[in-house]
Amino acid sequence: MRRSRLLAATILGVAYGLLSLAPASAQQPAAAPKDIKPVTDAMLRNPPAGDWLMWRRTYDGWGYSPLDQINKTNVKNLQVAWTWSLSPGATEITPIVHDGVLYVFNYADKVQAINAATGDLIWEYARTLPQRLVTQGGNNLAKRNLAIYEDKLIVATSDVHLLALDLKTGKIVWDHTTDNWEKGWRYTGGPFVAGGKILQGMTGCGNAEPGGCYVTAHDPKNGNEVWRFYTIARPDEPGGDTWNGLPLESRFGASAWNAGSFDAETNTVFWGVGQPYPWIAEMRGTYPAKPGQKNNALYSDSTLALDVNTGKLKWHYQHLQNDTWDLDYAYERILVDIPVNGQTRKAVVTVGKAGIIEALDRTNGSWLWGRETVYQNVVASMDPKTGEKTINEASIPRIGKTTVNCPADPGSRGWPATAYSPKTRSLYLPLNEYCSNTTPTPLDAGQAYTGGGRAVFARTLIPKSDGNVGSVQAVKLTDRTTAWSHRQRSPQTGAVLPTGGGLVFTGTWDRYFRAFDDATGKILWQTRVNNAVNAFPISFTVGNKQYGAIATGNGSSEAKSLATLTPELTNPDGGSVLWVFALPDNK
Amino acid sequence: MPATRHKRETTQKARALAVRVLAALTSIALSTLALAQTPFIVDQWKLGRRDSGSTLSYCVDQRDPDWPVARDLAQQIAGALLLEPKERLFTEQMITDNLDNLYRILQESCDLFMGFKLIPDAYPDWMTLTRAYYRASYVVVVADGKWKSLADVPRTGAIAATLGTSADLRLTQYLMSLRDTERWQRFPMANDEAALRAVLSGTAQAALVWEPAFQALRRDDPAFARLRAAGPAPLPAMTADVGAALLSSESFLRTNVDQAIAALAADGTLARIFADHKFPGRIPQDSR
Repeated sequence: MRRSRLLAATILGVAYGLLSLAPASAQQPAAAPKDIKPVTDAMLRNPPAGDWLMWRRTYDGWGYSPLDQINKTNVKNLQVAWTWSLSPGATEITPIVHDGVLYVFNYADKVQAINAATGDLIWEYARTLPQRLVTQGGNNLAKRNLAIYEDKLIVATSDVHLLALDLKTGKIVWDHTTDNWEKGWRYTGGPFVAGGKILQGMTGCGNAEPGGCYVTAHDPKNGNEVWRFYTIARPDEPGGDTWNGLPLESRFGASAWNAGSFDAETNTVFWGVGQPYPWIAEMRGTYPAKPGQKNNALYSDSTLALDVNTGKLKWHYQHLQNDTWDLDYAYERILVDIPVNGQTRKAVVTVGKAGIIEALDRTNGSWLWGRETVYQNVVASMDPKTGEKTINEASIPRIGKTTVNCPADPGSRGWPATAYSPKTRSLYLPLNEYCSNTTPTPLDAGQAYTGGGRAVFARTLIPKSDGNVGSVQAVKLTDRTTAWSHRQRSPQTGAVLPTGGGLVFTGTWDRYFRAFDDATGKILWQTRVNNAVNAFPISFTVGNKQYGAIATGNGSSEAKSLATLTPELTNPDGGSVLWVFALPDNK
Repeated sequence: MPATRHKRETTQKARALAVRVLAALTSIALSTLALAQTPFIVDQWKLGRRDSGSTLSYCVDQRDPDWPVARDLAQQIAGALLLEPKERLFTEQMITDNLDNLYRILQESCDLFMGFKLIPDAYPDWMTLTRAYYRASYVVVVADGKWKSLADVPRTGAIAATLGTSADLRLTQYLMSLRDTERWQRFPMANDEAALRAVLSGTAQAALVWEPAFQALRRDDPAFARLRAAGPAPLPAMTADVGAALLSSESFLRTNVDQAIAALAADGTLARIFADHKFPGRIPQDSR
């Protein structure tokens, strides 16, 4: 009896052993491509067409994919190749793709390497964030991009560290702390590798820490800080006399909350800066101007041109002086050569929250031109030579009054990026139109619960609105005419991706992911996904096959603010997914 | 029945009733809240329905200068409601915080969050405040003993004001009513301590701060001892009432806490707490 029991146990044991071995081998297909080459400076300067190596794919910030296998003719056949569930929460990420591996950041600091063709997980890094940070949640736990350099994936974390992860294993190579998250410092934009350095912008400057934010450069070997540029001018430095006589302790804001662009010819990095805090200038102490004082509050709402080696400011251009509406100019800088008055000019093009496209000469910061897109009532006019804006005084929020400003604080455009196609020489813009009835309010509710805006922003549709909020516009940078415009009820919450196939991919709050004809704006393909499209679409190849990818989620604060205008368009609370599309193999 | 036994049984019955009513109301409240415009909470489903049992959970925040007073008061309120007080103390380093975070905290761990100023239209619909348990003043603080009021501060000087307070807004509006040459420079500061330190350093000649914060800093840090309060003129006297925050749906609890505050004001308990802490707050007349 005992022997038969022993025999049975032995048989069961062997069987169990075989069973446990079988799935292990079956679960480990060749997920990891064998040859993941180190990413060199030369590759970053001229990325392979099938890779997506940085936030806007190329140093010039175009956000353009030259791939053309998916094109106007066959896009109607596009279908899901694979999906991957991401951690639920605001999902704003731009995946990185290199040598067949897709790297993605999940809400609350989980990073995964996935076989870009099959959707199989290769490795995962899950950061243990401080519990307090996790429970507070919110946008601060989302990131807009990662970076890749040599054999490392560079990650900005929610507790304000920069990490280098081994590309092949996900193991930490180095971990550098930049500042104290407990005081409110945050990373929401990701790292940007340029000139052999890792650059990173800081945000969270609305938390009343005096002196504002900064951009730092780090050594890719160990993360050590190489230089730091403060985005609020110090009183004893050039530009320091632009804060209406306020001491440094009274200067707040100027977040650098998105990554930059890079001109390798001149070793110049271009970075956008956000608004001063608090938003209401009268509260901030920079309105009205004190006699004999400047009050434009440098370097808020500016384009910075920094020497990538030293961090020294080459030039700056302030797009909006003394911002009092939260109209950031903190977004992508597109480097493009365009005709201006019969001459080809090396331009840097950007669009702030006011929805005004502005072109500067990127060699010296001189203003070239500006062009409005959607309805706004803040800027009454622009000086045709300098671009200096004359402000509609009626739109300036005042204590004790309610004023109307258009756009409202989330902006005609938010962080979802514009993009440029060299095929059409057009800039594609994700836009929204709406206004705010703005009432400055004392918010000393609890000692600490003081908020960032210190005003009530009651958002409304624009005057004489037809009910449409979102739009995608194509503007030719050659002559600044509108090539096409697609308007819709749903807020436009996705960044745009023009491709060599003549398509423009983007998505909306109401869960549509679409491909437009880049020349006409006709919708050539669309699909309904699980949640808001509120991230950056990319395209890549594995082998000879082209893919498109977009992450979805329940929306950032920007998207949710827009969604208050369309209460009938509801989305699920949870559910973040990475969607990957491709043409069927037999087509 | 002996009097002590009768009292104990009555207490137990009252406590059980309070728990049942609170549980029922919390259940209704949470289902109602789902329909209201409330902040998004990550993984809210994990929170479930808080089981308060026979406790009154209260939160106090060390960033509030009145937090020791609030702690004592919250314990007294719990006692008056025949509930066991349960404290959560916040010790954050961030200067500011946001109300969305407060929503999570109220959902997660507090029936009451002490120390919120009663400001009309300053709060979202999902929260409400109890009646005030104290009233305090915003004060002008100077280092120069010759200055009896703000009016004595030379107009060439600067006033460091805690940014965005009701008093700061009133100061700003007053300054805007003056000609350029008659205005003091106003330096908005991150918090009361930064405003007071600006006076200590000579960056500003006066500070406009919340009096409980000034008194707490004077008590805890000798550096502030040389500062003193001056009259607010030409500004009017500026006060604010302070109560506790709770979820709007907790109407039953709010009614009972309001009654408890009134009772504690009437029987002298509030005044005794203030005296124990040498607290500069006053009991609002309508809280008696």
